[in-house]
Amino acid sequence: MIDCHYLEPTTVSEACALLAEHGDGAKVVAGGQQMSLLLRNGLIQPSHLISIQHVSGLEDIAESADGVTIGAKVTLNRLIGVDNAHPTLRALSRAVEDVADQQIRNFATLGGAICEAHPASDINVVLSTLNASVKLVSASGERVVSIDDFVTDAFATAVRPGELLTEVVVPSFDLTSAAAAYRRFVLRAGDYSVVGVGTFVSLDGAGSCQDVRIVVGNCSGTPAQAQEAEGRLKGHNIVGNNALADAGDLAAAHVAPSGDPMASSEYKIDLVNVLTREALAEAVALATG
Amino acid sequence: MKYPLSLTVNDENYDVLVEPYHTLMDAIRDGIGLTGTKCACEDGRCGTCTVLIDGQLVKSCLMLGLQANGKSVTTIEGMGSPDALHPLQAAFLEHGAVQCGYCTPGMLLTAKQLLDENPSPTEEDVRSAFVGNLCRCGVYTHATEAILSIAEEKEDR
Ligand SMILES: Cc1cc2nc3c(=O)[nH]c(=O)nc-3n(C[C@H](O)[C@H](O)[C@H](O)COP(=O)(O)OP(=O)(O)OC[C@H]3O[C@@H](n4cnc5c(N)ncnc54)[C@H](O)[C@@H]3O)c2cc1C
Ligand code: FES
Ligand code: FES
Repeated sequence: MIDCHYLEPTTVSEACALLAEHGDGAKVVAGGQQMSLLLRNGLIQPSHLISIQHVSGLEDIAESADGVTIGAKVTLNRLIGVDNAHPTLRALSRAVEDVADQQIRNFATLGGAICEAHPASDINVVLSTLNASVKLVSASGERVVSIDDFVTDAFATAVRPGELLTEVVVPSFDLTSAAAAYRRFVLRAGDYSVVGVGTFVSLDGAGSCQDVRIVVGNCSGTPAQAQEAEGRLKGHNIVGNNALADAGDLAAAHVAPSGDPMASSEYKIDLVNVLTREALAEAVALATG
Repeated sequence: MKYPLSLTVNDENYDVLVEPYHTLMDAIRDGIGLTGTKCACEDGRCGTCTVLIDGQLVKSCLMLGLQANGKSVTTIEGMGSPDALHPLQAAFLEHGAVQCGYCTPGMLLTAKQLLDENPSPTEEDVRSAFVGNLCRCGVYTHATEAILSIAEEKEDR
């Protein structure tokens, strides 16, 4: 084991200065729910751990006309029920209820969940469905990156050495005509999803689909947009006909998941079909209801 | 590089030295020597290492020791003793909710937290509280009965 230092900045600028100073050897610790495993098992050997536990200003949830801003340190348990105050976060709040277990959700942060970039992450699928973006701050400035651009591969992100993820922005949408939903499948409660599908639909009064987003999780390294399925829906009437079933078929036809000990590739493909239909039906019901 | 870690465990203060990569579980078991907190999977899946930090449940293998610096920890040793069992411990014994006993410390802390937050849980509440506590012997039904029996006793009073 190399010598490892543990630093506890109290402000974002202090944290960024430490990250800049220690470069590649520095790693951020938020809730530690993944970091503790990586460190204890020697899978990573950073020279400096920058704990953001005492960094202030990263725990707020605020809504403006543009959308809801969620601080990176907001814990997953705090997101459960957050849709009471911020209804556009309904799909996120419901999805988080089933993430891991209460022990993990007590300390796991939203920023950590995003940065972990687990291929089976439910959170990144929901955030992609909601067109969310993240703010990255460094000693030399800040930038905003969409979740789709941020998650680059399994366990890989666009975060650069020296950058801290400070907040997530979920854009607002018209709750009277649009809605989002998320469906996941697990074999045992508390497991990572075998497959998860997020959907967003926006309808006009006649049931014609103005906008749609379908995002599939755990069938490749990153959340994957089901463009063919979206194409079947956008601009078409999708209420009271077989459009949603067609979209399920198309989403399934365009994924190529590898099998694992929990589920074969064929099984996952079937799940994509079923979960896409279910999540679309839920979003449509909410958007028309 | 070792750092001082100061913890209040079951109302007693402890000062130990830990490496940044040591988990809270390492600090409690190896640093302080309280081995009631069990270690099974070491990767966050089983919940045998569950303790309370400032009243919040945590899997102690999933947190660095230094993250808990200055905090108050409750382990199974703080719940009751062989001479003075916590009511939940007595109920677990009475309902046969212990087989090999490996999951029991974590189960009991989860049960304690559940009743502290919600003194009259439904069966469904109890079962979903155990999502993060695996029992390979399968005592869930008996543990659920034990917890519900305590909740009922409280209601009768
Ligand atoms: C047993 C288990 C089951 C799980 N099940 C699920 C599940 O079903 N669905 C799901 O979606 N997730 C699941 N997770 C993942 C869990 O949500 C994440 O591990 C957790 O949210 C990580 O957050 P953390 O704050 O603890 O991050 P940490 O462990 O502290 O950090 C994780 C990573 O993010 C980096 N990081 C953290 N915060 C920042 C920041 N602000 N800026 C830059 N980098 C940062 C760290 O350097 C590290 O690389 C599970 C995890 C476990 C252990
Ligand atoms: S030893 Fe911590 S969850 Fe299994
Ligand atoms: S009693 Fe044996 S693991 Fe639960």
